[in-house]
Amino acid sequence: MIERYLEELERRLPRRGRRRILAELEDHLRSSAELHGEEEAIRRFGPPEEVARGFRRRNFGRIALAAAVATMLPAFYGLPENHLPPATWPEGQMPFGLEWKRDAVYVLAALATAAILSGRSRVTMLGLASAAAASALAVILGIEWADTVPGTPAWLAPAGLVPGLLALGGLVSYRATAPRKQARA
Amino acid sequence: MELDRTPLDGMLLAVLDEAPLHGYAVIERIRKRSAGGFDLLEGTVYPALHRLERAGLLHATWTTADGRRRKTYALTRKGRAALDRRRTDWQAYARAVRAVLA
Repeated sequence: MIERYLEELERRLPRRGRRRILAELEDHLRSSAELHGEEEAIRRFGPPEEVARGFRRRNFGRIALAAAVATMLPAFYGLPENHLPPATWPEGQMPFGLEWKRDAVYVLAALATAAILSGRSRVTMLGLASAAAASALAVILGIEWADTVPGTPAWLAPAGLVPGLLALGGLVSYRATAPRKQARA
Repeated sequence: MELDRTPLDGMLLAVLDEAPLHGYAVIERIRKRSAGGFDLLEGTVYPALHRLERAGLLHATWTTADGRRRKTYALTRKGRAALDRRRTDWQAYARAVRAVLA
């Protein structure tokens, strides 16, 4: 009976960490069955769909953060520069106003990437903020680039908005799904 | 003062403040100390334990007992601080409710 229950549960658990979760819950069920019998142990434990639901974490914040970082990847590989008109400055002598913004976008994007890899909720929040800041700077950079380099395509500045919108969406959904507190007393 | 929507997290931390325990023992301890007042659906406690572990409030170790793998939880220093805050908040909440209901 416990074997059948565990099979039912396994089908419903998220893939990540499934074997360890099952090992832990099997230990519980068998300990309980020693005292109460298998049927009662399962009844006390709860329906498999209800137990499995608790393990499914909908972390839209991390999904949004990953999407925001992914949309910044073309910048890492210099794709925008391959489609831009030639710069008006000699190679290696980018105007400082453009250079620091470009470097700051890279640093903020790297921080956002590190936040994804950390797996911790609070760090995800910082990562989302970092991605949003990178996006805002990218838009400003795009506008200033267009002012400096004639013929710059119109899509450059608005393209910088994409990761920021994803990050802001992630922040909103993260706050919406975070456990709520009762009113202050 | 801010309160959790359910008191489960605080109860889990409080029980583990006494000694490291595995999940089944935690649930039985809560049931006994509450004199049956909290008769939890046992399987739903484990997501809460995992969440507290991810938050750094609990530390878990694996051992082998009766030929089975067993996960035992212990309170971390951060968990102890969180428990102290929850105790303070609940005492203030209880005082406030008693004052209104009296």
